Amino acid sequence: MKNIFKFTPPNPTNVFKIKRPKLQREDLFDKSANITKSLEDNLKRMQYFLHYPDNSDVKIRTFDTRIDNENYPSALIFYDGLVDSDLINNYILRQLMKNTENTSGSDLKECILDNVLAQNQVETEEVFDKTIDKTLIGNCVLFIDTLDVAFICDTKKLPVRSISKSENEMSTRGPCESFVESLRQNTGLVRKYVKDENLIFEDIPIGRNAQTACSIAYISNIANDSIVGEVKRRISSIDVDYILDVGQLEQLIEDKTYMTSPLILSTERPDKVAEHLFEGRVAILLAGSPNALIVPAVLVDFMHTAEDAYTRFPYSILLRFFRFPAALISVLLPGIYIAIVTFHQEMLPTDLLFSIAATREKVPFPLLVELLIMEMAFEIIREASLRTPTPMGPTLGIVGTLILGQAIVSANVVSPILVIIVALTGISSFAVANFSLNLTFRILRFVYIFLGAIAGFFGISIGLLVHACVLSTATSFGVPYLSPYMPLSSSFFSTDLSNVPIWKQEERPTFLKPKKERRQPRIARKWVINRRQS
Amino acid sequence: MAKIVRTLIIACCLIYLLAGCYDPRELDDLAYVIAIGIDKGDEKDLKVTFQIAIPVNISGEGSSTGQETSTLLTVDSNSVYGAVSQANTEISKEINLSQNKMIVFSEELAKEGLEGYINPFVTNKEIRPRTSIVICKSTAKEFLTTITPILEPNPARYLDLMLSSHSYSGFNVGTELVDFYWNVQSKYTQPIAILAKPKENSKKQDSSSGNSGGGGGGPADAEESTVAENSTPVFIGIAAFSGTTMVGELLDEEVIPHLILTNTLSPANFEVPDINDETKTTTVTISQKKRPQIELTLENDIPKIKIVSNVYAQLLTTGTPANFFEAETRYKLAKEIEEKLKTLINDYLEKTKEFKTDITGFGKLLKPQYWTIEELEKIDWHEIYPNAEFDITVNVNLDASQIVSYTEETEAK
Amino acid sequence: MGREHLSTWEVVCTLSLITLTPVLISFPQYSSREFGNAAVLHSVYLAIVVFIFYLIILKLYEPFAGKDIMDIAEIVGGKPLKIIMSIAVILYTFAMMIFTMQEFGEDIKDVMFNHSTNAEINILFTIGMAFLGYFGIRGVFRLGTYLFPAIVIGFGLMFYSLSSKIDFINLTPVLGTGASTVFLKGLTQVGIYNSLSIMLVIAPLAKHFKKATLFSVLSTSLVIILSLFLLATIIPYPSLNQKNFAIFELTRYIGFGRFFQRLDAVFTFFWIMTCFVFLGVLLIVNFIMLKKAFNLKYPGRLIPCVSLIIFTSCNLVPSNAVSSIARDFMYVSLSPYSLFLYPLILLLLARLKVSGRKKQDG
Repeated sequence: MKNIFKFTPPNPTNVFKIKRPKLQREDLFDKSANITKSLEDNLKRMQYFLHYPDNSDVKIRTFDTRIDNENYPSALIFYDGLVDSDLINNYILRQLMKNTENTSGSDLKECILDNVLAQNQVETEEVFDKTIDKTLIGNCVLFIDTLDVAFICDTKKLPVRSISKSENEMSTRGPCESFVESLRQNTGLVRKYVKDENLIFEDIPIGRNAQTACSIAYISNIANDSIVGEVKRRISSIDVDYILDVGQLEQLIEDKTYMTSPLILSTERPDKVAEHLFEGRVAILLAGSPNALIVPAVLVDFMHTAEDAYTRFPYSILLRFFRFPAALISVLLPGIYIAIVTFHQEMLPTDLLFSIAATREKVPFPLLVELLIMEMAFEIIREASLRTPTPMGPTLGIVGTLILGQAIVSANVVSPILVIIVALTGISSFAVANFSLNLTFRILRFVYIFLGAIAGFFGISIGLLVHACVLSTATSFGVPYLSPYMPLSSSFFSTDLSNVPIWKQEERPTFLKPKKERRQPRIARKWVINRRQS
Repeated sequence: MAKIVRTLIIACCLIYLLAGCYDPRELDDLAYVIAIGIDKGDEKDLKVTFQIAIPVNISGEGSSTGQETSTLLTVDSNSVYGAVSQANTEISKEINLSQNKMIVFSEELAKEGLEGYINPFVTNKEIRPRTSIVICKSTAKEFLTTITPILEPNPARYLDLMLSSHSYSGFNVGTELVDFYWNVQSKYTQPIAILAKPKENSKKQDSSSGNSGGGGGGPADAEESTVAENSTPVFIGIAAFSGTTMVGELLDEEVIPHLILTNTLSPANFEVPDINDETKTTTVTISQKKRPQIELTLENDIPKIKIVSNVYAQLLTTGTPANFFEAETRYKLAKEIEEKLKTLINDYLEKTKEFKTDITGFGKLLKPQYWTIEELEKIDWHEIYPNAEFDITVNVNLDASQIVSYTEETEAK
Repeated sequence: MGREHLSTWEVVCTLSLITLTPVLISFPQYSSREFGNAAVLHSVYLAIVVFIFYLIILKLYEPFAGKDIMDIAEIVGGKPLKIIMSIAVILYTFAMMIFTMQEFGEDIKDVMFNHSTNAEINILFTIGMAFLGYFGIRGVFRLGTYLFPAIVIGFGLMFYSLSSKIDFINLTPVLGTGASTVFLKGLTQVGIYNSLSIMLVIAPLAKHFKKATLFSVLSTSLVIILSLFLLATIIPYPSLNQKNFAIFELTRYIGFGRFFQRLDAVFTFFWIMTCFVFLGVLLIVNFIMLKKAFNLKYPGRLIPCVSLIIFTSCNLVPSNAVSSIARDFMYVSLSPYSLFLYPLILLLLARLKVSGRKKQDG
């Protein structure tokens, strides 16, 4: 503290000439130091910390604040581009520059807070590093000579995208909004669906420099405390330099890294988040990320789409019914095909066998190579068409699939039956809506192909065995991954495969152990019993 | 721990690769046998004929009709497996028996006994247990030569459909390899096989008897008949075995009693003399809704077998006009059917007694009558079966829901 | 290993699967050879015997709730007995695993991999078993809960498809090779219920020990009776004697029309998984005992070694015939003691000792 007085007193005329002062003693520029009463001193430090004027978007405006006809040298520091200039001009600078009578007789700091700054969120901060952090997210900082605090005014106007239609999780029914990159807008979206005062957004900043705001959302009288606690424990313990997207956070907090199946559900739909919050789960939102994480997630959650909840009961049964075989096909079909064709020919019906044999007759490769060629081609086409600019994407798809497929068959490189198998597998994998699970299946497909090629059904049975064990021993935030089925719980009957009509979904998933187990009373449709009386 | 797992996986994979398991076989590297024919050999014991499908011609793209869809390969050998090895040396692809539909033995061989020729097929894991066993009156090779599918481009499907014709014709049976084998081993029942012969499509049809729908030529000229170019195989009845030796044959209508007594009769057409005019025929469809009741008692080593069979008949056509609203007419027809069935069953049983083989499986009924195998085995069923006495009752029920119930005279007299 | 308990459903499913393994391999053949047409009757008789026996065991076990057989051995004879006992049991399970793997491998080789050597198939078994070992008892028992319903459906399909071949007359003569053989000599075959003795090792882990045991007895006996019923009614008496891997033989007969035939490979799939569960559970039980007897902290580290030992010994067993005889010995001569007498005596002694102690105190 003593060292502060070694600085020269503030000299407004040469403030703008100051180049970055040389570092004289380390501790002078300690970020955790307190703000001093000298404006000159404070400014110098801030200039040093913010790399002024090398840093072109840092703006420092110096002026005099007039209170009771007395001039106080002041400075306003902000990042151009993150703030709303109108706000600063009209409600901060104008207010400060015009003379204000301090009628209440309170001290200067109180006076400025109470009478001068016409701003809805103003805080005072006493330490440099926190001040800097807040500047970085779009606030402006006001230093006034003789006051050892910084006023932080909320003048954020971050460059954001407007809310648009959900593109990766499309649905024909239900809301279409999707999250954007702004945390507050996202929390606002969630709160729009969950109009419940018990919905809590708890902020835990992540990153060594505490730069990324992260918000944990849960409904306090539904979500189980131990799950919320576990989420907080994991997130607050993370010590990394920076986090840009929720995808990185997912990797940092998931239970098992080497497991292929995703253990955390990621979504861009606020309505889906709301639905899961009401079930008693926890959502994690991150500033700058248009996705939310939902924990804990169990395997069947990944098989669901937004539509399931919004369509009528018979339709949703149908939709789900076909999704599960599709998932099985996309994982197992090529493996089973290679197993049957190379090991268990007797199983094939004679007619089918003959047609497969006839088409294979001219193909020079062994079946495994043939299958790998085709699968690789398919994966490459898929990857390429994802990355190509939109106008070219469909063209690539057509060239890749139609022309290549046709040519590869007529050149006798692969047999037509194999093209059918690979195409069916590929299409089935798209029926699984979740991106992560889709990738899981693509990885596992290759595993099963090799197992099938090594030892037929024997190999596949080993694969299934290990797979089943991995899945059944995995947990997501303490919840068994195969939950409603394994261990079997009563919510087996109210969710998932065995879907029931919405008026029968009385209980929340019991595996989440929510504080309130019932979602709705036993009779949700009162009109059914009230009909006779009216 | 993860490290150990990884090391283990890698080690195992390496070991596995070093061990060099090579069981996978490419589909197109195999030659699929769809029928096997076994004849008595000249120099060696056997002459084995494989009918091998040519998949490219069956379903390959741009296959022109008229190309051969299957080919025959005949090898001489002392055993079935020897023949497979021999065949493998003669063709480029590996013989695979997994799609085999039918095993054909020549009658000559069957009469000498199939002991040793059936076992290889039963123990072979490739062979389907439901493969049919066919005994052929000509040589097996000739028989297989005649398989030129008429309605089907695919010889395997043709065979499949042919062999399942028993489910609607009533003139032959379905025999599966396993059943045959079990019956060979059993002491209380004897095996049967499908009896077949190539049918000549030449114009010498006159010699064959005209009264059977499915059957072709009579048995008399069967052995001398030479195979004409355009002949097709026909299943004509049952070959009765005693153990593994063929001892007799049952043709056309003689098969029906067997089906009735073994409760395997599926609705079959049945011809009886007309109730008014003996020279004309009335056709009914007969079926059996319940198992026939068979009681077996042993009296001084003479089996007494009481058979009660309930047969349902449905009228198809009548030879002469008749009014079936009248109880008497119905009774007459029922009696007629009953008479004929009774005679047929009696003839059939007499024949089996003559063959000294219990292909119906009456002997099985002995088993519940004893407590232990030891007691049971004191009786030599094969010895005493020819002494059996039968008491046959056939109840014919004319189905109420018959379409034809009243026929009028339309011709002017 | 976590604190979670094994639910009754998990225990019942997995124990039934373990029982199914010997039924798959050689039990029906042996049973048919010994008891003739009375094989089904014999299995019903055994079921009743085992049920009564387990009622007694449960009664005796009551005061020791939450303790496994090792703790009880410790009560009776202190640490030495505990260690001797666990070594004996471990050796026995080892032998069981080796013979099962060997014989199952032979059968699988026979039906699927004619060109491979036994060692290659055993390697696959060893890999699968080792993996299961790592996942621990919960992983394997949960696996059982998927597999068992699948196998029940498989049996349903078999019943449906083969119902035309079922002939009740094959069950007669009722007493088969004679009453004394079936009811007295038949008792030695109780080794088929060996899997139930695993209950005494995992007793502290089971949620409802009593319920789980009784339901397991019921379920395992149903599995045995049903599979023998299928086999005995479809394959006539003398033919069944020759069938090793008889249930596989049955699946070969399955056919749904012309199109779906020879589904045996699909079923083999289930049988292999069953065998894996058998090996996995036995391996884990071994480790539970090792851990307890020698106070090991990380028994999981031994899994690769143990698996390799089993694999190697598997290859040392010379041939199917020899292993068959040895297995018969294990099942027929040794197992009645391991299953019946041993726990019974142990529990009785423990009971006496406890009551004696109580008298001294009181």
